[in-house]
Amino acid sequence: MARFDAETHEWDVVAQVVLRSAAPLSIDRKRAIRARVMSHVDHDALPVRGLTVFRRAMAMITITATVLGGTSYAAAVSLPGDPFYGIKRFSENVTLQVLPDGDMQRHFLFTIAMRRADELARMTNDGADDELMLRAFEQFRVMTSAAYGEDAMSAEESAYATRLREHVESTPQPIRTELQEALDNADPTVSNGSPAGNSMQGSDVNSGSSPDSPGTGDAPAASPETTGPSGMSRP
Amino acid sequence: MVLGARETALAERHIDRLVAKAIAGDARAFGRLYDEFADRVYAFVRGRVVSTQDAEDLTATVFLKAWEAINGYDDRGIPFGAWLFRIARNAVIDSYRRTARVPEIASAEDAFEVMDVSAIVDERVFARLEVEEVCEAMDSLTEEQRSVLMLRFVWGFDVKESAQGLGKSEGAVKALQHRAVRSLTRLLAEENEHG
Repeated sequence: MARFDAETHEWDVVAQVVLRSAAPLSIDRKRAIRARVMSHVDHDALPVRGLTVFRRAMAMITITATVLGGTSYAAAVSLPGDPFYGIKRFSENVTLQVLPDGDMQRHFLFTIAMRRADELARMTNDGADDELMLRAFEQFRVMTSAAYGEDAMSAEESAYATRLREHVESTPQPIRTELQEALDNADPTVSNGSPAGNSMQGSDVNSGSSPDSPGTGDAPAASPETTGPSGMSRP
Repeated sequence: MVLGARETALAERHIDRLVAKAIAGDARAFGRLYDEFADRVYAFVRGRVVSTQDAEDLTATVFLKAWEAINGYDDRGIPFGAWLFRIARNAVIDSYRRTARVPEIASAEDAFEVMDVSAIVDERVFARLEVEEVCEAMDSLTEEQRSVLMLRFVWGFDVKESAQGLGKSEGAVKALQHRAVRSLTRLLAEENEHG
């Protein structure tokens, strides 16, 4: 028997063994499980549908109050770690759940992202602790990612994005670069630190961007189904 | 196929966006996360339950638990895949508890003694092995060793992500992986000798 590179060969053999031992899920069965899961998820995703008239009215009041300017003053000005902050987040979540997909929802997501940026600016001034700051940055990242989404933006939606970017540019420097980086990561039109499209004109998008950051969002994201298992790297 | 760094980054960004939407209550986005991860979750749970029906039930359970918990995901500080794997692994352990079976969980120190594998498995040996023999060899590993191999090869995780998925240090994962690879090649070599 010929000798070969033991470590490399072992790794290849084990990869094949593991992949062969992993029973595939047929497309039909995958769809069947999906239907089971989504029947629950769809039900939960729109809780207002199942509410009584009274509860639905209360939900609408909450939403209206949130959209028109916020729950209460105390909640509206609250920061992460404050007692009223949960009310603020709850109102936002309720609103997000009932807003229809599309322009309104995207507008609201950009609005929330702007709020998170404001909160971060105020927290910086107040000297908030690192843990709270990290969580707030993560919230900003999540909201900007959701706001940009995967679908192309209309001209009006691009205007929201531009407003958010301008808003971020007005934040104090200790956080501005990081916020801009989060925006660049979320924005599928940003390539190599340079924005594409009208929505980003005039923005200082290069600051904080890595020169070898991932390419354009136009390219389809790699999917395990199309690329196959991706764990074939060497140990 | 090996994913390049750029493709990996795009895939991660794609998943991040879906997760963000799902956290915001978007059922469609969650459905797409299911599409992305269902094969890997199923592959992981199938090797641990008796029937395909149980594996399908468990796969559905994993995603329902993920949906219920997704609002708390952002605080955990680990990639979504690793978080989902933890849910899958806990669901498997729960199912073992319900059926009074206990998965073998060994620490890296208690795992197989590392042997000097002089009889490295030949490609031809592997080609002769039936799927049942391959699965038997996998079954003879400890639960943690199997999990590490599954994460590395089927889920496509690197060492760091595998460590996050298992809640272990990177060093512990490397040790588990080393022992798993050595144990598996030794077992396959034995199969070859007896076969």
